[in-house]
Amino acid sequence: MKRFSEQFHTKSKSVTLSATEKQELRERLVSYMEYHPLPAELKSAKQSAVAAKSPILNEAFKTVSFPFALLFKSSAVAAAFVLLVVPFLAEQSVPGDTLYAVKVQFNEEVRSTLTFDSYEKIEWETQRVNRRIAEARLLESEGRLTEAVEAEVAQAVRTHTQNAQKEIQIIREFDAEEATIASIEFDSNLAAQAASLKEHPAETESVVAVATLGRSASSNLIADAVDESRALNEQPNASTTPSYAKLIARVEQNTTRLYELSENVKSLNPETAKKVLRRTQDIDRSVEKAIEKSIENEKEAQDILIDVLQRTQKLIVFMTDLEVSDTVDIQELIPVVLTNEEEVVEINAYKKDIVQKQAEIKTALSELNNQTNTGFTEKMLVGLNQIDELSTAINQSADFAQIKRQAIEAIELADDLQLALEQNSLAVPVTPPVPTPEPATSTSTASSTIVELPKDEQATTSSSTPGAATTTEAQ
Amino acid sequence: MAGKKFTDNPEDLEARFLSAFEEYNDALFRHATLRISNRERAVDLVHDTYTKVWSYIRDGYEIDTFRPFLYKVLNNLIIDEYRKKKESSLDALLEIDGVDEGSFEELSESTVETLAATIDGQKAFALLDELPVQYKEVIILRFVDQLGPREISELIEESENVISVRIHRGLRLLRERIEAEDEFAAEKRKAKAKNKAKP
Repeated sequence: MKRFSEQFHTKSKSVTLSATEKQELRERLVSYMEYHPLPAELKSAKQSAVAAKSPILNEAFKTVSFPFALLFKSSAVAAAFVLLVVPFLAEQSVPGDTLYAVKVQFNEEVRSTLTFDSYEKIEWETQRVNRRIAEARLLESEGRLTEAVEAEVAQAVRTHTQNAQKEIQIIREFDAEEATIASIEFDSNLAAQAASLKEHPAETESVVAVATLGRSASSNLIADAVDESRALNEQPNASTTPSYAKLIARVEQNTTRLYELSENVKSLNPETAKKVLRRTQDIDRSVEKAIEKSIENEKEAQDILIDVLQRTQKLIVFMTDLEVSDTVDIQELIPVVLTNEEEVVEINAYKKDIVQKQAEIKTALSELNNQTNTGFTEKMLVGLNQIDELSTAINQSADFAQIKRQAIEAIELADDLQLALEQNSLAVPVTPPVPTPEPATSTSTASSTIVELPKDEQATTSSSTPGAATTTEAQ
Repeated sequence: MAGKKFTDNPEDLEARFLSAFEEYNDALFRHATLRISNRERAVDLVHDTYTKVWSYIRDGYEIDTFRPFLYKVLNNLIIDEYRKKKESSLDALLEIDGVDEGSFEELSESTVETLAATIDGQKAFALLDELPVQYKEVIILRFVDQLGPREISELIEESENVISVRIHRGLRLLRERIEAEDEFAAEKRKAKAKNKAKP
């Protein structure tokens, strides 16, 4: 029996599934199991455990459960967070912050996209340039401004300028005059920023000399970018002159804005408000002048208005951009324009000054004449003649700018002569005699100091209020 | 074997089922192949066996031991297969079997042993297909699948006596066949020898 049983059994063993048959059978079974899975109450508890243990789920596909229900429930909160909270927080960020990208590439881009008017787009790009520069300043004040960030800001400034120029180009296609006005305004803004940037490093240098060495150089990077942008911007600027009506309309718009802003400034900083008031008055006068001129000579009126437009724009930047107003002297940005009376007063002051100097030089020369060489005296006389010529020219001329230029030239010449006299009189005492040169030198030096004073004052008058200058002059 | 009851630890149901597949697929295939003499169909039957068992598990039945349950299912499938192939003859065969309860001699396990000892296992295996279905079934279950008479009786739902008789008769039939073949072969040899001697 045993033998039979064994023989029979071993013989039967020859009947087996081949490896491939077995594999196929297994696969058929496994796929059957997948299509007919265990019911939920059995399955849910064990699905994961089986997946880990057995090779059943080692298939080309895999089921991944995603908590949609949970997501939908919290989606309102999530959306609010992503669309409101994050952008709001991002507004405060500076380069290097995590949310900075959100600010620049989401917030600002969204606003760009939502702005359809080319004119508004230019304004927005202008604002973006200002924002970039403000960020750089903020970082600098915190000592976090690296060169990389600096370069980034400079690049951003260039990009925004290019964007603005693209928009200007678009406007130009259907309205060249509008385009020119836009580019004038954009340029004025850049000018204000450039002035502020150039001012800035010098200031910090005086405060922290060592630390700013590297930084001031880097700050120039942005200034360079701004300058570059300005240079780019200026070319189309010259191409067309906007019509008188367009210009006056735009100026009107800007002045309205100016009055609004100056109201704010008045309550915040009365001193600045005074200066601003003076500028707005200047602007008003220029506008009146332009209106008068427009009847006889429109071209001139247009030039005046362009100038006015630039001034209003700069003034707006000065008042809106805190950093600019902190760093730049208003006089540098927008010089005071004198009234006719003020011009007369100033011309008189110049004339007086010149006459006084001439007198001083003449007396000094006559004292000197007694002793020294004729060559020197001759030179001095030639100089005096030149001053005379200039003063006659001043008397004949009616153009204030020309008078001022000539007057300054004359005063400078007189100063040179006085300096030469002084040196000569210092050289003279080597030769033995005379107490006489002594008073000469003393007078000359004295006179020069006397002259120096009003002259110095004059420099300030041209920069601040001329009324004060005239009072000193009168004395 | 299996009871309707939701199991307490469903974690390893799939694992257990698959290990039952690994363990018994060969044996089930062998059984099916020998019973129906069709290799491809046997594979299908094994597959169907397992899918049926899996459906059972899905319905919440708990299977304590897989082997008898798998055999039971496979056996039912094979019977279905026979029915499809030759309905009438099967009934006839079963009828014959039912009539004959068998003698005492046939019921003794020891006589089965002595009988088996006289048979060449290898030759018997080769002649398996010539046996009537019901003998073939028990012979396979007994000697190929190596189930005990009790297990076989549970499986095919016959008394142990019937099983023993069938095994005995099956073996006897096999021996007769083998002897007949041997005789035939011997005669052939003789005839050959004569043919050789003649010329």
